[in-house]
Amino acid sequence: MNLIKDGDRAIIGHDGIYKIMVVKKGKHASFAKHKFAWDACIGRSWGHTWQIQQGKLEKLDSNEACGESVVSKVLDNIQSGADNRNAADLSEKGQNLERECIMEMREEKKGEELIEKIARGNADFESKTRFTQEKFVRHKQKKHGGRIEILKPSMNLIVHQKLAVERTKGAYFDVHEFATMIAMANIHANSKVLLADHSSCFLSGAILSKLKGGSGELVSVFQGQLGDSPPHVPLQNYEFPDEVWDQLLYYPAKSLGKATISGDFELPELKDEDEDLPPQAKKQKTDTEDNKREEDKSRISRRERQEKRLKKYSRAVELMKEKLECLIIAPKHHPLPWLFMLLPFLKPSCPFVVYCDKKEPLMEIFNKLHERKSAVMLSINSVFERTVQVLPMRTHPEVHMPGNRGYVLYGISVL
Amino acid sequence: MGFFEHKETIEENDTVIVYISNDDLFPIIAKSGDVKQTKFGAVKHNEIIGKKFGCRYDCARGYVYLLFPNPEIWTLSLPHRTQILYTPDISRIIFELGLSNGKVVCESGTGSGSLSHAIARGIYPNGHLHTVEFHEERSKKARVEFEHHGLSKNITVYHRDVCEQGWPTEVDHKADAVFLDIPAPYKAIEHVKRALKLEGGEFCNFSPCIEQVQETCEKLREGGFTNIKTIECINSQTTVKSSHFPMPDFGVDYSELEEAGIMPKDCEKIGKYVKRLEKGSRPKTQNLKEEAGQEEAKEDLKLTECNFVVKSALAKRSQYGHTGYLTFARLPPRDNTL
Repeated sequence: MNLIKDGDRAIIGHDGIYKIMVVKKGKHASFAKHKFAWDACIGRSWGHTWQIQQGKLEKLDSNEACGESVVSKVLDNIQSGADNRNAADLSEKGQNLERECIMEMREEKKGEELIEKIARGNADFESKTRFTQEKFVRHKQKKHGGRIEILKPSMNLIVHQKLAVERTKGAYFDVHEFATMIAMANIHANSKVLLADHSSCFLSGAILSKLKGGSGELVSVFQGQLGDSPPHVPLQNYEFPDEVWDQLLYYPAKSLGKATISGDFELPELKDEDEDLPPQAKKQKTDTEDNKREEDKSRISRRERQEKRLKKYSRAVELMKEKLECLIIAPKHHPLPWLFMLLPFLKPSCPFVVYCDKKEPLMEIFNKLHERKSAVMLSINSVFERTVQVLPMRTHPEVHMPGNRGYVLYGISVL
Repeated sequence: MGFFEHKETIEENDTVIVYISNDDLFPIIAKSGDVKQTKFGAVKHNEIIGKKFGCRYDCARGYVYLLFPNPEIWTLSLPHRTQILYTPDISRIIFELGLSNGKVVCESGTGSGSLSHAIARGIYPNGHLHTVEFHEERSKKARVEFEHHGLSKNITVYHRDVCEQGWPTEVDHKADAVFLDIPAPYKAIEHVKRALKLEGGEFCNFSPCIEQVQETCEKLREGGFTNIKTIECINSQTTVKSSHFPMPDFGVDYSELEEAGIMPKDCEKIGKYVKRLEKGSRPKTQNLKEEAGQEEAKEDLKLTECNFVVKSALAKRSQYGHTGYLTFARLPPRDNTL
């Protein structure tokens, strides 16, 4: 059974809002302005719901994990009105309790008691209908309730969390487009995948988690020079074992032009030891023995890094020559040159997907592919998605819904 | 054949998807001596065995493409025994259920196996799908199909009533994820809990009617599920086509109107286009190419005046809108000691 350990990455969240944190024994963390100590959850199972109470975590039983139990506990002792005909205007002062007062009470009172106090502090609360009261309690529970789930990071949770953050910056794609791309590209653990992903490793991370435990490999064509490697810091959240990192191969875009025209795939040279050392290391070279040992260590690891990179480049080149089985393109540039550059490396009768947040570039690709007869099953897909609130007598689609987040072009290569 | 093991050449007994257009594709099993009639002519199996997947096959009156199957085109071409799930819903389900290599999934009902193939891909090669179908004939046909696609070691079909009996006891507390697409999912929630691991797991329900969704969400709340979320996704699929707009006739040359300042400049120039019939193309499709300013007409070209040509992404006149509501939920760990 997988249990929480000190140093593990964890997804903390509630009600669809997630944050990635590192579990640290003896330390504190904060979520939604609630401070808590990690210690109580270390050694326990993932997936429980916890109540933050006076800076500590208290595990909630499974029957209390669903927030509805709070709603009934709070409203059991409060009367409600038949309808809202006498309700105060929204513009008039609603809450009698001051904000500072509420923040102080968060430290002392347990979840339901605090919410009950806030509810009673609301003007004319008892004259409101039960439905209005429930909506109020759910909203306050979200804000002040102090409940969190501690979840083991998995691909869909990490993607939800990152997209929620990115969405506030006017982001690149949304969950549905992402899910569509991964599915349509026909990726499974033994797939050979070719990827052009310039979206902060969203796609690389997701694909690697799909390839885990299989014989699949991912060739990532990244923007860079010979000798570079693609960004990989965001992938650390997945905590991949070494075998999965070995499945990630890469090749720089700048060397691809020459490779496609002349068939000659350049590989980086292993640099000689003294060349390319940073100036400080060169300076220290003439100093004491200690420094010499340090220098040797960094030189060895640099050499190892170069050899590792060369291995990855070589394997990527091998795969590109043999051709790959799936192609995904989600660049921040115009996608047309990417597609025509990478399509020759895809085997016939294999799917490709191209993402763009505007339709017009995909329409250009569609036309060119149609003219050249390089692909069939061409379609440009976009989705209209909304969340539905499901409650007795109050079921309706929610008011806010994501606007159009982009388009996915799908096709299958032909001979 | 291995559904997920891509190969280059068509061999005897392979499933081949014959592609005519986006709306017209169907599977055949390559068998020497068989012939499949299509609207463009006969597809002779003897001739396709040995050909490469992805190649074009010429028939008497046109051509088709021969494609290697994958869950997406399988969904569009499979023989329907029931109403099926399509790619937009399937991709969201696979994502939210968190499927990856090695996971165990329970599903009901199997239906025509559209989602089952996508789930199998999600857990391939080390995972397992336990799928229940209460219609005996359909369960047999599904079993045969999975066997033919080389998926029997990953998919087991059971003929039972999931609301009465749930999944077999061997599967108790083994599933990482459970999916339901049945008329009364609220009756099966206890069986779902029995199938899911004690450490917890993911659940998804698909129901076309809101009443089913309401009843199911109530039962999920009572059953201790958290993060209950219901969404509706409607996909819009478009292809790019040329459209042309003839210029209206106001009785006067456009150049005069431009000079008088009524029309903006160059109004007429955007109008000309060239219509050309391409050799060897299918009888009803024509490639339109816009060549503004071309003076000379070649033999196989017809110059038509003043039609504004635009390429736009057009959806079909009628397409799949509402398929169903997807409800996702998570069951937290049930062992309170850990």
